[in-house]
Amino acid sequence: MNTPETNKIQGAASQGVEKTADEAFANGTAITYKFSVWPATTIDMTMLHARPLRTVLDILILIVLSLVLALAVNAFRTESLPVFNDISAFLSGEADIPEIPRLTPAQAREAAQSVGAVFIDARSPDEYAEGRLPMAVNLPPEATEDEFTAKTLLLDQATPIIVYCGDAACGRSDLTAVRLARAGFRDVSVLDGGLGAWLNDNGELEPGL
Amino acid sequence: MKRRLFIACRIIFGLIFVYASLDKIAHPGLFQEAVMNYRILPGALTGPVAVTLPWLEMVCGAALASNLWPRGAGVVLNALMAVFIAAMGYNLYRGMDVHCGCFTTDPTAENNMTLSMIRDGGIFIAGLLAAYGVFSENGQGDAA
Repeated sequence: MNTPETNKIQGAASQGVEKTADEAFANGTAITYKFSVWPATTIDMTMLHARPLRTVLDILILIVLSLVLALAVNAFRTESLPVFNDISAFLSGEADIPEIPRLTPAQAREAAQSVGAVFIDARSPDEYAEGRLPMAVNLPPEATEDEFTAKTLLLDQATPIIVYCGDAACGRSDLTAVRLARAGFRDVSVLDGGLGAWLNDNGELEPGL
Repeated sequence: MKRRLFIACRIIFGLIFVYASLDKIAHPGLFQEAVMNYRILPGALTGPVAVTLPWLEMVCGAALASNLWPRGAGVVLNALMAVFIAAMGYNLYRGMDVHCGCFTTDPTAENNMTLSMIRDGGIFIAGLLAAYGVFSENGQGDAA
C-alpha cells in the first residue's frame, strides 16, 4: 500500500486524495481508504494506520500490570509456585526440572520385576483406594511437604520409580515425577498412558481397600 | 447497528476472559497441571505460565470490557486466542485429547477437545469483530 520511493499511499491516491504516509501517521487516522472484497462488502483499512505506537505502549502497560499482579499474588500465597527458580533453571539450562522419561506398560512391568521399580500412584486418595498397581504408594502432586517426606522416607534415591495417573490425558503423574526428581530421586519415569494403558495391556491391579 | 455489534463483541469477549481467569487464579497448581498436560512447553516454564497467564487474561479482559487501553487489550487477547486454538489443534493432530483447562482447572470435568476448538473458534470470531470495532473506532462506546 505504501511505496517507499514516493512515500505516498496508493489507495489514497486512487481515491484522489494526495497525502503522505507521514501526514497520515501524524494525524492518527488521516486517510480513509477502502477496497471491495465482495460487491456489497468493503473493508475499511484506515485502522492499519491507527496510532501503532500507542497500541504497542498499551500492550506493554497491560503486560507489566499483569506481571506485577501475578507475581505479587503468587508471593503471598501459602503454597506459591517457584516462578523465579523455574525461570532461572530454564535460562541457565540447568537440569532443575529434568525431562522425565516415559515407559510403556511392558517396560514398566519389566522394570518392576527385574530391578524392583516402585510404582507411585499420583491420583487422588479416593481413586487410589478403589484399586492400584501392585504395591503402589499414593503420592498426589498436591501432597504437603510432610506427606511427601513420610511417603518417600523409606525409598533410596537410586530406586527406580514409575509414576502413573489415570490415563494419557491426566498430568498428575508428570507433576509428582518432577517433584520426586527435584527431591533428588535419580531414576524417575512416568507410565505412558497411565492406568488406562496398563489395563489395556492386561496389567494386573491390586484390589481396593 | 454495526457499532452496537462491535461494542457488544468487545464487552462479551472481555468478560469471557475475565470469567475464564477466575478459576485459574484460584488454583494455580491445578492450572499448571493443565498446562503441563498439553506437553508443548518445557516443564520449567509451566509454573511461570500458570502464574502469569490467568492475570494477563484478567487484566486484558477487564481492560477491553471497560474500554480502557482497548487496542492493546484487543491485540493481546486475540493473540492468546490464536495461541490457544493452535495448541489445541496441535494436540488433536498428535492424537492427544487432553483436558482443555480453558474455563475450569478441574481435571475431572468433562472434556472434548474438538468441541472446545469449535467453541473457541466462535469466541475468536467475536474477538476479531471486537478488535475491528476498536481499531476502526466503531466499538469504543461513548468514551472513544
